Amino acid sequence: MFGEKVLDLVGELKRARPGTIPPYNEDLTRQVIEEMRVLFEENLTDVSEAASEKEKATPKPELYPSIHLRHVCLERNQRGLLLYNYNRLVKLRDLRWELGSILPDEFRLSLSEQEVQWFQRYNRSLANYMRSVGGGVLDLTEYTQPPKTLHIEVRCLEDYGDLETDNGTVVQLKKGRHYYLLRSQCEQLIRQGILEHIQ
Amino acid sequence: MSGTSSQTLSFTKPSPSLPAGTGEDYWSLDDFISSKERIPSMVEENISFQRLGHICPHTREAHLLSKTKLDLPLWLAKSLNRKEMISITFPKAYKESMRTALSADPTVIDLHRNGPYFYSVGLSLLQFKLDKDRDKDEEEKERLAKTLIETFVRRLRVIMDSSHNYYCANTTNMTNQLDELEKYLFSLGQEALTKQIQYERGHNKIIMASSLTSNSRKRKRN
Repeated sequence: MFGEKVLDLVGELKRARPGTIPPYNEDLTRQVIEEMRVLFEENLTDVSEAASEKEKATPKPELYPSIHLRHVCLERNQRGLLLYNYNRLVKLRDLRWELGSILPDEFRLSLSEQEVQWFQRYNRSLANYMRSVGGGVLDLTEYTQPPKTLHIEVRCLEDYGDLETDNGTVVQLKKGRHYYLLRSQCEQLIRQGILEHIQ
Repeated sequence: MSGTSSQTLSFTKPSPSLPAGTGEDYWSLDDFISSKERIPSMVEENISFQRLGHICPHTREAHLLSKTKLDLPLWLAKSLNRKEMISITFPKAYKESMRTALSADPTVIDLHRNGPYFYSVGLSLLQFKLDKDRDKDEEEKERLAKTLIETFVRRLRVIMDSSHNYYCANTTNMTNQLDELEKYLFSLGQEALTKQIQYERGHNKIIMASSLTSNSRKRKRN
């Protein structure tokens, strides 16, 4: 039956646990496109037969149901492929807002080349936008919640290395230690899971 | 009726979309998957699908002839039915016997096994042409629509109640009998409950690690 491969493809994305992106399934994508190519060619021959205006050949309207059926299958496959790529991009965009401009390795490995390029372009657009509205100092991914205090206390969850603060001092982040830092400085690190916010 | 969580930003969706009034979202994974449901169909009289005999597994004909019975996926059946090329009957989960069971006590029925997209497939069925006689067609659809609504309303009470009261408990027993739409509603209730409790405990001021990182970190540890 037509349309089963594309269902596998979309189902794979649906089954992925929230917060993960499954590896880009190029193989299955190619198989779907192949199925579409076959459908399209079959339709092309049938259409030229059905509506042929040559003198010898008689038009064959009885072919129309088949043409319609194949066309619906083509549209279904097209929708599946678009859906697959679009929903992956939505996930990828959410990654940018959660984890910042550097893509963690475990995500990078499951992306296609085009998706990596898209991510870089999205980064650039976002950076350009933030520069244009905030005079160069605004980071829209900061302060996602209204801050109650300027500084917060954090616990470091892994050896991170040096963190240079805005006023120029360098703080060495070591696993297990507590720090009292500017909220704006560590918000991103908390979301990346390197620091933990404690009260 | 998409089951995806609300997104922080809306970004313009690319252009193709479905005809209005179908109640489906072109870009929703759930809507796409739910339309795989198989519908018992029959090719109408005077219609045959030339050179497509291979669609039907139990004939060896080269063409798909009129009056052939076969199960077609919903997305295909819908379009062919609109063009009056096939007629359909209800799948098992929407037949009279099931409706009687649902009207007796909808809360004990396993809608996951009978679905798992019981409502969205049911809604799609309402757009089919079921009978050539217009009155009969309307009547049949009205009965289906009533069953859907009643089932939903009576089940929702139980779902709401449990989703607002299970906290930090294993809910799989509760949720594995739910339709996908119900599961989504259940998770919304749970989310709200968690947020409320966090607010009462003053946890809401804490910046949390992203769910994305906590997942990937878990994987690394394994």
